[in-house]
Amino acid sequence: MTISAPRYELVGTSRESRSRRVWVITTEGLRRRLTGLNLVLIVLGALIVGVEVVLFTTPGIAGFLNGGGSPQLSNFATPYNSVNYLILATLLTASIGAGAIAGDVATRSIALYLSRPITTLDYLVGKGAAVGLVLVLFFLVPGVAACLFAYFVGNVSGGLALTAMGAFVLVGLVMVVLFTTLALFLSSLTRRPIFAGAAIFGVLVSAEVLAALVRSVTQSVQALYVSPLEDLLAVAQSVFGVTPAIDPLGALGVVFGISAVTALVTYLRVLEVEVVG
Amino acid sequence: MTRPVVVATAATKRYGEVLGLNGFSAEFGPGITGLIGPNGAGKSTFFRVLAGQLHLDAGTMTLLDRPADDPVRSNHEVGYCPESPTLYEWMTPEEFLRTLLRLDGFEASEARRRCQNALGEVDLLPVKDRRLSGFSRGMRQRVKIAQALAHEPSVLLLDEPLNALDPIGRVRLLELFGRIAEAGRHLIVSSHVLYEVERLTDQIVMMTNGRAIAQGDLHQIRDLIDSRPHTVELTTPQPRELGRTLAGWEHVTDVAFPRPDTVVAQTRTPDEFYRSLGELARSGTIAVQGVRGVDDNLEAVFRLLAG
Repeated sequence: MTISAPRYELVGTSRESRSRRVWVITTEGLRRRLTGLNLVLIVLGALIVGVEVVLFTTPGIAGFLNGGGSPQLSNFATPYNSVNYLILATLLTASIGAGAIAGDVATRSIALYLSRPITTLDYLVGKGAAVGLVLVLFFLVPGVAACLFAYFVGNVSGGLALTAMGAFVLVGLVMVVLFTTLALFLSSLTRRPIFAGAAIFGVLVSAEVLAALVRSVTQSVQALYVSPLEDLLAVAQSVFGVTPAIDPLGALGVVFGISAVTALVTYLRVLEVEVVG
Repeated sequence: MTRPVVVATAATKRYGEVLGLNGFSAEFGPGITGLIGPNGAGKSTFFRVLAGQLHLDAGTMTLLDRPADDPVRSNHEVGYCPESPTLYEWMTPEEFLRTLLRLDGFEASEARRRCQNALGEVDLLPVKDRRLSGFSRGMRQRVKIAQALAHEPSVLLLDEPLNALDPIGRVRLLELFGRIAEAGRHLIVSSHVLYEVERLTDQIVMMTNGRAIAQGDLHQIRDLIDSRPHTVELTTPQPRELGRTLAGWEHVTDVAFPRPDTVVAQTRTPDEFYRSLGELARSGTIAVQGVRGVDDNLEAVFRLLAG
C-alpha cells in the first residue's frame, strides 16, 4: 500500500555563507562563556595572568624603568623562565575549554547544532574559535599590556616594545593553537565537562612531571620533548632571544604535531557523534 | 509526477546489541503523516536519522530525494522537534530562536522577523525575554516546536510534539499543524498516544520493534486487518440471550459481558458477523440497541497489527 503523493515544492530562500554560520557558533560559544559565573571566572583568570605577566616582566625591565641600563628583548621573557606560568595557563584552559564539546553532548544541545545545515568542520571551527578567543585574553593580552606598560613607564624604546609585543603575540598564538586543539580533543572524549577539565590539566601536568623524571634519571634534555609545556617554553624562550634547553624548531614541530593530530582525531571523533537517548 | 517525501528502505540502526531500526521500510507521503508506535518502537531513531544525527548501519533513507546522511543539504528543508528537552538554558526563547535561525543562514533582521512569527505561532511572545531555564515542560515543548517551524522548512519532523501540553495548547497546536499542511508543507508527527494522531490525519505508518508493520490510509489498514480478530461491542437489554446466540455462530471466537447491558464479541470474519447480526436484528427475536466496532479506534488497530 502506498500513499498517492502530489508534487512538493522546495522553498527557495537566500541564505548567508557558511563562514557566517560558523561565526554564529563562535559568538554563541563566547556568549556562553562571557555570562554569569563564567564571566567572573574569565575576568579573574585574565587578572591573575595579567598581574603575573606584568609582575614577571617588570623585574626584568626594572633596571631601566628609571632610565638606567640597556633593555633587550630577552628582558621581556621572564614569564617564560619556568613552566609556572604555563601551568597556570593549563588550569585556565581546563576551566574554559572543558565544556566546549562535552557540555553540548551533556545537555544534548549538540542535537540542535546537528539539525542545522552545518558540517562537523563548521561546528568544530566555531567551537575552537570561541575557546581560542577567550584564551587570547589570557595568553596575548597580558603580554601586550606589559609591553605597553614598559613603553610608557620605563626607558624602553618604541621599537623594542613593538618587537616584544610581536613576540608575545607569536608565542601567545602558538599557545592558543595547542591549548585549543588539546581542549577540544579531550572535551570530545567525554560527556562530562569536569572530566574533560581534569583531563586537560592532568595530561599536560603529567607529561611535565614525566619529562622531569625521565630527564633526572637519564640526564638527557631530550626527555623534555615529551612535555608540551617544555616544548612551548623552548619556543617562547627562543622567540625572546633566550637560549632554550631543547631545540626550539624541534619543540615547535612537536607542538604543531600534537595540535594537528588532536585536531584530526577530534574531527573524526565528532564525525561519529550520534545523539542517542 | 508524484513521489513520496521520505523513503526508508531496509533502514537498520544498531545501538550495540539493540536494534533501533530493524530493516525499516516505509514511504511517507505529502501532508501530515502520523508515525505511530509504542515507546521504544524506534520512532525517535527514525527522526534522528532523518535529521542527520544518527548514521544508518544498513539500508537507505531519503528526504525529498536526498540522502538523509547529507545534513547540510537536507537540513535547510527540515524542521526537527526532538523529543528530549534540548534547549540552551542560558538564553531567552528569542535569543535561542535567533541563534538557530542564524545557524540556518538567515541575516540578523530576517532572523528577528522569523523569530517573532514563530514565537507568536506558539503563544510565547509574552515570555520571549525570560530565561529558558525557568520554563515549564509545556513551555519548553512550545519553544522546541517554534524552533522547528521558524525557518519554514518543507518538512517538519515532530517527535511527540504534544507531550506535556495542556488541552488548550494541544488544540492550538493541532490547528497550527493543520494550517502548515494546508500551506503545502509536510509533517511527520510521532506519538504513542494514538487518538492525537487520529485527530490530525488518516495517513499513518505504524511501527514496532524497529519495523514498519503497516502504512497507508487508516481505513485501508483496517481492510488489511479484517481477516484478523475483530471486536464488536453490542448494547442490549437481553445480554444472556444475545450472548448465547452469538456463541452459536461459527465465526465468533469469543463472547464477554463487561457490563450488565453489554456483550462484546470477537470474530475472525467481520463481514459475515455484521451480515448475521443484521439478520438477527431483522428477525426481532433479540433487541440490539447499539453496535460499536471497537476496532474503529486507532489504538485497537495498532494492538491487532502489533500482535
